[in-house]
Amino acid sequence: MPDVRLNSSYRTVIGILLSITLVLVGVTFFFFDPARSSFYPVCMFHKLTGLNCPGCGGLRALHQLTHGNFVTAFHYNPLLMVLLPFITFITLRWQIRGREAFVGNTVLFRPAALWLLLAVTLLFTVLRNLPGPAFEWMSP
Amino acid sequence: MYKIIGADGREYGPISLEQLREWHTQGRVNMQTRVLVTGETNWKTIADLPDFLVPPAPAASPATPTTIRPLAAGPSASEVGPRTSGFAVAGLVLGILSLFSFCCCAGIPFNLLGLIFSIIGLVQVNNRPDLYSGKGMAIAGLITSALSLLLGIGGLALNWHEFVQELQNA
Repeated sequence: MPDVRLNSSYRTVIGILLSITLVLVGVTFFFFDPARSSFYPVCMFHKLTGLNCPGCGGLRALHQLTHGNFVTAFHYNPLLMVLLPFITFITLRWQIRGREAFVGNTVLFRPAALWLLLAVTLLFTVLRNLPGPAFEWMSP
Repeated sequence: MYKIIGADGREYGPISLEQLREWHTQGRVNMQTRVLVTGETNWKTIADLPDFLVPPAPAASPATPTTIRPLAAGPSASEVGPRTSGFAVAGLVLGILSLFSFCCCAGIPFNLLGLIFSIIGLVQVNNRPDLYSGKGMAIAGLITSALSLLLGIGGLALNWHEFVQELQNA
């Protein structure tokens, strides 16, 4: 029994820290547009190769998201926008159920789901760097 | 009564302690199998069960028939093998995260953590293939983390002068 309490209090602390971070990051993203502000970090992948990494446009997308511009956000980084609901779901499920959230019959936590995520990420990285109108909507 | 998570990731049970012991002798579960005691809320491993480690009454064990399978759809002994190494899974998750975070922080700290977790996962699978699987995941985590580390740290090093200047201007 004592480890049950330990486990859930540790989760509560992480939950509070996450919420604070989320609010701070959200406020920063709301008031400072990464497309115009200079204090946001530069993408090392983009700097080295000139190509877009899978996360490129993500900060600008989050800025648009805080202003409710879902379409613009999707344009900056479609994959991140698709993954965001999953990330939210998994985090909330873990907050509620603890380690138990990751076991059982949930398809999301099968090894296949992780392999799929890796494949989609790599495919997305290739596609968004291809020239032509068919792929340009994916690059920021 | 107990519920267990099979190597296929599905829940089995509730079953009795005797049944659990029988599955252990048949190789359907091992000490790392996740188990939920009825009435409790947290999953643990069979190694954490105090009841399981106490040897059964000598009269009961030889009498237990081994031919009866209570779960019609249960996996056979050969299906239940090692379970996926948590370190390998964490390694690949961090590896994928490090690919997304080139933009925010040159992939740090995800690529560093991903590298460490993947290596631990790989060592775990190599040392105890009877207990752990997930070698492919550990290797994929290792590759993505290493790629991110190389490009991230490389990018930082090549642009160090400019990077410091930008920090001073900010």
